[in-house]
Amino acid sequence: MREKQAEVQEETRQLVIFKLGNEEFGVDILQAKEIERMVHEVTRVPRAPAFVEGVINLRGDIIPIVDLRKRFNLGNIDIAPETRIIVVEIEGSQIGMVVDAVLEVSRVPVSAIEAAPSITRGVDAYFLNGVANVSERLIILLNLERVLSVEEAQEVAKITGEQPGTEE
Amino acid sequence: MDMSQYLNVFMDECNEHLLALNQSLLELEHDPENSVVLDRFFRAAHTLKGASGTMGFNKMATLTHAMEDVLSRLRSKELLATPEIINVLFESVDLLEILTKRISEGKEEDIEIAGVIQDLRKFAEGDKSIQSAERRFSLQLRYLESERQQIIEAQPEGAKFYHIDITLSPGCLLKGARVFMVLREIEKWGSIIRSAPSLKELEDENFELRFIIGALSSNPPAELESAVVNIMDIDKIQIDEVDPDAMQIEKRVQDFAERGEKYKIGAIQTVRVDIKKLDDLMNLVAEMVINRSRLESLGAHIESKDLQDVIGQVGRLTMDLRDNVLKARMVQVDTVFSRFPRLVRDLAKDLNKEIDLEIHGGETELDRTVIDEIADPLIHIIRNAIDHGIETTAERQKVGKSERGLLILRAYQEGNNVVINVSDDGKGFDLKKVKEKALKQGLVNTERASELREDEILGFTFLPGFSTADQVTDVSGRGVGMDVVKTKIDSLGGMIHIDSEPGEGTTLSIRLPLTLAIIQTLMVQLGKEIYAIPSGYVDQITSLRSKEIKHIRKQEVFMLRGEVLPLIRLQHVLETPGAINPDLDELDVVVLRLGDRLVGCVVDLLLRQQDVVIKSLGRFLSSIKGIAGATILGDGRVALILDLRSVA
Repeated sequence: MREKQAEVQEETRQLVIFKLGNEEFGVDILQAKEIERMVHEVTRVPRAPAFVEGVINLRGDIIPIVDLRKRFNLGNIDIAPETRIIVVEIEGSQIGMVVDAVLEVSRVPVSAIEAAPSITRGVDAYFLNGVANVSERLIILLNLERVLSVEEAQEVAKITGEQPGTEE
Repeated sequence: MDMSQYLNVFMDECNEHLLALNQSLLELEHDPENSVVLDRFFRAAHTLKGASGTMGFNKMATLTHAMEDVLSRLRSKELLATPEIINVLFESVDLLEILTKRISEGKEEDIEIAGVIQDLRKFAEGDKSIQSAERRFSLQLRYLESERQQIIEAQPEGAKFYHIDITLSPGCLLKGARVFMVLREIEKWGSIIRSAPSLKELEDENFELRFIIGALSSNPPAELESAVVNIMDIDKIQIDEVDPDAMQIEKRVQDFAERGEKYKIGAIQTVRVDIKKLDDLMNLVAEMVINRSRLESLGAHIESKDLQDVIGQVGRLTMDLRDNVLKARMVQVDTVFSRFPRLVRDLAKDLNKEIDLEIHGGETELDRTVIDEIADPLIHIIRNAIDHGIETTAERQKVGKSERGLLILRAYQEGNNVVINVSDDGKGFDLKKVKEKALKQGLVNTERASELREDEILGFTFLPGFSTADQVTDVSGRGVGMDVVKTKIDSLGGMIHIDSEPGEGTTLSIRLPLTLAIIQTLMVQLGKEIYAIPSGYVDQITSLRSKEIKHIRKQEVFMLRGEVLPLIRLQHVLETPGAINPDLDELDVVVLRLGDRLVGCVVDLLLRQQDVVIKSLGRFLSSIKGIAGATILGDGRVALILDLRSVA
């Protein structure tokens, strides 16, 4: 009984915290597979949604790379030495997210996580799992399934695919 | 026990044995007394019976059992394989096929097999059909040697061994409960050694009405008899003393050993491997191929003979490894072809035609993934040939052809492709009729129709909804089909072509890539980007002076072999920045065959031909049109593989 209480008190989530513009975001560490430097040559994929930077060869696997800033219309990323790719696994497939910097991996008490207001620092609450308030820092928790959903991407692909971008 | 993990293996086995059954039957039809074929048929049925019994598919087990009964009489020459018997056996095999399919869908139960079983029994047992159930459930008690010893040792102490044969009354509802009460009485009276059926089966009510208990007791049998007859629903009880020396001793262990001996040689030669494991292996080899190229380019900068030797050696080994893994995925086209004799026989019978089938090159090998996909299109083509192509006997006589039609299936390898031809010696396509139909359906205007080439006219038959059959038959003519066939072949990266000579026959030619894992491509450069175009789509490579480009409305076109072809700047389709071809005077043009049309694609630079390993872009990007996948180049970069059918 005592043990259980202790567990409840200590219930935390371990997050990878990264920077996008001036904001701090977090994803669950269980979803993050790898963190890579931007040393890979990205191959552009024609007709892909605009936020898809292309694909890279990560030790023999072909992995799509998305630009989270473009996804949330937060401007373009300037590739800097701190720029990283966080490879996450969603519904069985791996996707790399380009972020401005990876800050830390830290434990956040579940009690510190609240539901997100409808719009948080420019990001629609539909894409969020909540916000964590940790010692005066506000960490925005992303719902990766929604941010990087296949359906959403297909939807976008369809729209861009229908645009008369080509001479027939 | 959870059997689901064995289900796949079971299904594979079923399909294999069904093939054997079908083949043997076809042979038997011509040569009813061939004992080799009879044996083969019997073995296949027997194995299926065992396997289905183990898996608990009782209907299949019952059916194969009944087939086996007929077969054993055929083998022992008590019975001759008359056409009636062959037909019933064909029916049984069909039913087995249906059962197999149903089992894979998880619903064996809703298939009715009683009719066929009855037919089979008629042959298996002559007039005594009714007794069959009794006989099959004839009960026998068999003992292990150790049990016999136990009985013999108990005898000096006055114990005797009895068989207690009990029959329940036919209306008995609570068989399990009655058995339980009987067993309790027997246990009070003596000790039970064995029962038939087994105690477990008795508990599960898995028996007819009769069961036998072997028990050891020093009490008089009459005592037990009077106790048991008082139990409800007992129809009959008979207690016999049994001499231990006359007991049947079970030979299970020895039997097993003998059987093991017999099959030992055959069993080692093949191993069933999940195709996924081969895929994984293929991926690993692909990694090695890529790293080999990297190693070579790194090694080029270092002067060391030893290093060069090792690099050369690694290179050769890698390629050998790749070829071997590819080979391991290969399956003979015979696995598909062997279904066709039966198909042809049945269709010919249905349509009252006489048709011979010749199969050549069944040993040609194709990748397993291609094999699985190719069966349906081929079936369709064969149906068409038999229904529309080959004439009836009377028609053939009238035009002076041999009475029997001929259908030839031929497979052979040509470079990195396998070609499968289906030829018939029938009436061929009526080009005029095809053209009329095309005009009627508005597929072409009158003006254009007169200048159509033969192969263009035949190309109409691949369009959806197009059928030249005047009558819709059971077999074909509904206008669905050839377009589906073509779509399928296209999706496999293959090509299909019709040759037809009116009055002489038709040949459908399918060209397929050997494997879907590795394809030959043409590497092209556009701006800074490198793309791979599958060689299967490349009709030819040509160069073009920019002033030779003409315009029709706003479309760029050029002349090739007297034909006007549209010209596409690939950078427009692929939104590629920095393409230099608009500034070039001499253009490299890749002429692509996209379906029936030829299209010229302008690129910046032709790089080389290269075999590449196809990798998927993953689910996230799977819906993007124009991209078939990706591959990793020697320098580690990713190049996209183009599929321009839907975009150019």
